[in-house]
Amino acid sequence: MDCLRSFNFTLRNQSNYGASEGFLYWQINSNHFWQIDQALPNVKYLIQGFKNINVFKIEMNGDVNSSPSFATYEALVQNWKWDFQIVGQNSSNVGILAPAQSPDYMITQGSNPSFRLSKLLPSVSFETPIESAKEIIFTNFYCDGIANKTTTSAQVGFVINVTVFYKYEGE
Amino acid sequence: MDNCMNQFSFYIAKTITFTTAAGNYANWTAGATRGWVVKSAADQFNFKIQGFNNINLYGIQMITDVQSGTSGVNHGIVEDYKFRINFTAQTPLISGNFTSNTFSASVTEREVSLGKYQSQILFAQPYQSCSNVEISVFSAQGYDNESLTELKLDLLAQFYFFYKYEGVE
Repeated sequence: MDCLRSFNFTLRNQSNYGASEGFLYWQINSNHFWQIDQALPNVKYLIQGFKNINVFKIEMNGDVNSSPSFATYEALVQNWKWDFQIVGQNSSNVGILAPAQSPDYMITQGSNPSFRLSKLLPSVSFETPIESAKEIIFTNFYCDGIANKTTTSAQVGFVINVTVFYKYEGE
Repeated sequence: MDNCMNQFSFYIAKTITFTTAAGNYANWTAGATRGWVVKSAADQFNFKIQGFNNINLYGIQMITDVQSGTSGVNHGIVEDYKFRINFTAQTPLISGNFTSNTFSASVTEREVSLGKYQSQILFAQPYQSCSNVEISVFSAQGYDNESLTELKLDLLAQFYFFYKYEGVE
């Protein structure tokens, strides 16, 4: 697309995740399984400048894993996910909503839409952009796997590169 | 890719033996499963870009295969692997700042990870004046390692770098 631009930022962390950080463990027969579900508003990027931006795509590219240096708390990471929110105007829905149903699974997000990107689904793109995007907020980190060495925590490190594709408003 | 996009590539074919003695191999038993991880920062590949014009980097694609070695008693099942790629260049920026930053997020880092499940990264706005690319770290994980002291992996990788010369739109 003409005038499509992009910027990047990198998230980096290494922690030993215990119960207070959302670590959960269970065992089936002799197999160990674990997950980490950490819900914190821990990264917010405020977009500044003379013009607002319209976001066309976000892509995550990264590495979430254990390491030989983690000694006692290794685990095999099999999947990872990030929830994030773009503070901006979502594209308008076209059509008529069906009458209220129960259960009603449909949620419309007129503004500040939320998304989840993961190891196997690392990007989301829009034909109609998220307009006047002011902030990008990462709200939740999740990963799971097998073979955790200890039953009380898992040490996981990540390096995640985020690419945001945008145009300036009016272009 | 639009007009005037170029590419260069290089190829890695290497067998690496990771050992607990060297500190780049760890394995453990969890219930009935053996798990292992390796991380090698010693086997680096550094390519300096030379010539009259600098280049602007638009993307990287990788075609790879990592598997257990075929000899010895040091096999294991490879579940996932990653190559970390660093490059020396000007980062495309936008005005803004982090108002909350627990994870040391940075807009100036120039490092990407490509691997088994994510083999390509493309940018709409390039990293400019790229003068150097480096494969800095290789890491992998898996299970059912045969040996507790060493693991041998065969690496086969082709890296493609997409670029334009500075001054070419």
